[in-house]
Amino acid sequence: MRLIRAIHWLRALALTSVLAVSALALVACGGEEDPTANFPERDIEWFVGFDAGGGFDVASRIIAEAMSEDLGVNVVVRNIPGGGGRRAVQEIARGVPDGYSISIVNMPNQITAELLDPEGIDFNSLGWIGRAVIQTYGYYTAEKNPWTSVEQVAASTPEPRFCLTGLSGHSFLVAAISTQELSIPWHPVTGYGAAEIRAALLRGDCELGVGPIAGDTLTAVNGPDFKVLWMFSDERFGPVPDAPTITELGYPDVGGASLANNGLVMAPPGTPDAILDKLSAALNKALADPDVAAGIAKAGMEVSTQTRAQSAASVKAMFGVVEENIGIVQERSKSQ
Amino acid sequence: MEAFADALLRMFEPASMAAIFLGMAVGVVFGIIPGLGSVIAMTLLLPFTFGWDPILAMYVFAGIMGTASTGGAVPAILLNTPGTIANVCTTFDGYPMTRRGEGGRALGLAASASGLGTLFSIIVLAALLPLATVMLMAFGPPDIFWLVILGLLAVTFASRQNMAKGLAAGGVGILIAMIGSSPVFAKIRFGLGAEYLWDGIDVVPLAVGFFALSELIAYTSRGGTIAEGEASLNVGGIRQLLRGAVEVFQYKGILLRGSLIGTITGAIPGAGGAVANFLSYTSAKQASKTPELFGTGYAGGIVASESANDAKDGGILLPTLTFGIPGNGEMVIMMTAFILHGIQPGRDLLVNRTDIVWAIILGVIGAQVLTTIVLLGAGGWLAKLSVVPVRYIAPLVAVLSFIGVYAIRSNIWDVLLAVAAAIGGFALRKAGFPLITLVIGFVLGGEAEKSFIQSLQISGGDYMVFFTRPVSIILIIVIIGTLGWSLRGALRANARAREVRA
Amino acid sequence: MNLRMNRDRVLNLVVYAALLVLTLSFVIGARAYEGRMTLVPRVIGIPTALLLAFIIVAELSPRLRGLTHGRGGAADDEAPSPEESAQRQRESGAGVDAGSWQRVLTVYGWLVGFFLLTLVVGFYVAVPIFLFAFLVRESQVAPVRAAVVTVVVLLLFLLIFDLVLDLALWRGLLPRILPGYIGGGSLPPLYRGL
Repeated sequence: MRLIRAIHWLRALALTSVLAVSALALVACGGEEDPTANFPERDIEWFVGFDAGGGFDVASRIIAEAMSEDLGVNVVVRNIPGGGGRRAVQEIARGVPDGYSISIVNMPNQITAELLDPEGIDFNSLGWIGRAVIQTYGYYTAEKNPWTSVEQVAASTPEPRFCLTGLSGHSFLVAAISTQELSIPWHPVTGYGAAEIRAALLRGDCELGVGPIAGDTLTAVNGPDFKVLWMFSDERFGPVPDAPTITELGYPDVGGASLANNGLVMAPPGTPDAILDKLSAALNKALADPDVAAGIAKAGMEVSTQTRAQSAASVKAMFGVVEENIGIVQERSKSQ
Repeated sequence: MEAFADALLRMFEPASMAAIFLGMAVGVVFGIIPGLGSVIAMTLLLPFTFGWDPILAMYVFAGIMGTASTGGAVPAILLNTPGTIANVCTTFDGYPMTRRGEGGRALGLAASASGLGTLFSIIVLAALLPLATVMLMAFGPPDIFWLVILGLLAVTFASRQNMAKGLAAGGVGILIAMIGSSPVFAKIRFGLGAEYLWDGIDVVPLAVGFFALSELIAYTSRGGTIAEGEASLNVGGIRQLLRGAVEVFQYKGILLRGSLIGTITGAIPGAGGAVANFLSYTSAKQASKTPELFGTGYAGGIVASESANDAKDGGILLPTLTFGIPGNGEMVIMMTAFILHGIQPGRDLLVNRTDIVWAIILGVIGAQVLTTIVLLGAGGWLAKLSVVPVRYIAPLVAVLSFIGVYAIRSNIWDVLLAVAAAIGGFALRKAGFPLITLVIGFVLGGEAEKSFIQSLQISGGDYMVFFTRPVSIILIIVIIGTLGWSLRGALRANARAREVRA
Repeated sequence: MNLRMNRDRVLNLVVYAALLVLTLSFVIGARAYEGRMTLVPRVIGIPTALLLAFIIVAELSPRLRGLTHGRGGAADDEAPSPEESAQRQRESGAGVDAGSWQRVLTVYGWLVGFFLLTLVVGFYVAVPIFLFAFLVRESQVAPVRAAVVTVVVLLLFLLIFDLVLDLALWRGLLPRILPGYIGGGSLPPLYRGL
């Protein structure tokens, strides 16, 4: 009996020592040298805080492929969905600052989430690499609705209903802020998939939709059943040149382009500048590739590059816009 | 029709066949591994197809979606471990057959029921595509709500053997679905301040824990092999497989009903294969003249289960192709593939890109036919799995389950949840609660609440919205009918039982 | 025989009570919310709690017991044959055919151990250790044979999940030892502040 126990014990010891020795050997091989000079030496992980298949996911995969060619290592897209993108932000905020884990992040909506339910994340301390994509938002409706001006929508009876994916996320943010500024009644109907909203508009579940005018929404508004009411952009939006901007309709203060959805790319706080510069250069080089831009356009987004400094500055500016509106956003998220 | 002929010709080109074969192989393998399923398979292959001819990419994806649930039947039959949630009911009869040494026959039945179910639903899909707009207009949130209620009721009455525990399990499932964020509310409910619960409980770790790991505990603690006694010497070769494959035609009624239920359920957003699988099995049992045979290794049970979970493919493609509304995770990836390849779902796709539509339809059918052939060919070899001692199988199932669960969201805590669900599920089964009812309640509970709140948001709080739409009224009548029919059945059974005792 | 039955009934009661507590915590927890957010937790929770309470009472009362144990009013005295009860269990998708509780807990211990090992050292190390240890200790396979099986599975595992699928598997909590494989995993937040 004792012998058997001894054998078991020896076996366990043998296992542990094999493990320990191999671990030590690996550490020794790894060696320590200046980590920035030869960056990157291994695969880089690019987090996406959403399930596979969303706009940011598709754009990330296209960009990652191009960056892989440039950097000579694989840039691997990893989906870590959770909390509408918050899990990815957390992962980066707590991550190792070596440049091997970066993430695309939806802004300014992550700021909204942080202000409504603080998790202690300091956005200004993150290592901003640049901007991958933006999405320009607009209001759209079924063709049968006769409106052409903001006032007509606001005064319409019965009051127009808003179809939304949920009471968080960028569409909600734009809807909550803009309805307030434009004096449009707040009557949300939530829980639709992005594409489902068009079916809901035709069926008469609701009268208004808000979202990026791109991808299949763009095809739909160019078809016979839907139309764009106005765009939140500073100039007329190329893909729908006939749609007015909100400024043209007499509301220059609503925010215009500041209501766009930004896909910024970031690294953990404290990542060395040399590494951030390398990543930023690789990102912008990938984005300059016309094939990449075309692929991203197909996925319903636009390429819009920024330098590191520009991205950091735009994050600061977004804080201003969100902080100013946080009261109304909070109030409207409570409506059921 | 010309487009169809073109597409058919294209399908037999070597590149097309290779693509379909790739999709089929990946789909079957991912289906067999508990936890992994078509969604993750499609996600992983998505980047590889970037830059391919879109038609070939569609063949691959159609191949995967068409075959994963067929692959999932293999471990369901041989190991009592459903490969995907949509194969749970296959275990009820498949596994007893395996233990009798008829694993080969069960595989044959599953392979051909799957193939025929797919065929049926794809034909329905092709026929309904022109009518899709009408259906979309007819089904709003109130109608979806009644449809889900009908599904929940059917599930509840299905566990007539032990209705109190069935109802309680379903109720607990619905309650668990309330955890986390909901698209109709801003606040996270029952989150306990835990970040892990932001998006609620994920169905995959729950189901893998309940079905794969708790079963692992059962057979490992029992020891031996899956097929027991003398029968295990006779797993059955190709003859048994073919016998099963042909035998399907003796169950035409069950096959047809299962295919129909699968197709309809597939078209309902959020419902999917698991619900189709369960509804088909229970309704086949209720309608049967010999309900007592179900659960004892009855061929009809396998036919009911496997025809429905594959027939959901046709149904689920309908809203995706016609409106670009993805009904489940598979379809979200399919939509992404469309977008990546510059295809716009909806009118444009149906009118201008019929080649794509036919590629998907033929891809699903082609892959299913291939799967059926492969399963029949390899079935004899697969059936031998059941005579491999569980001491080899158990650790492998544990490893694959862990990896499958982790891969879904890259969250190690999901593995912990699966481990917890394993013992929880084991205890629930031991105490007589039907786990499948709990899971169905979980899947449908969130959907029911969402469509209910949506309806009230649309009407501004007026409850009449549930009683004024034509489709809703029809569904309410069906619900009342189902209730009456079930009650009558229960009363009769009770009276009979009393007579017997007296 | 009688004793075993009693122990099973005690375990049943524990499960019922656990479910009742779970259900009630939803009903009570719903008080933290307002309006429509409380609707489903209450409408479903309260009847479910009542039903579970009924199941508990029925378990304790021999007269009622039949109502929650299969069709008809057959009570304990009419013990069904093992085959019959196995069939009954299968039909309702409930019930389980397992070894003794001690065996069950042993097997479950392996699963828990495998999880803890994976948590710390990651899949790439935990899988071979678990496989080998399970095969040798639990399955009583000869060590050489177990090693062969482990190596084959590990190679297949690397081939499929790493080379072909490029799945980023959990690397464990250890400090980064072999980047991308062993160590350096970042634990997703489980609970606020953790």
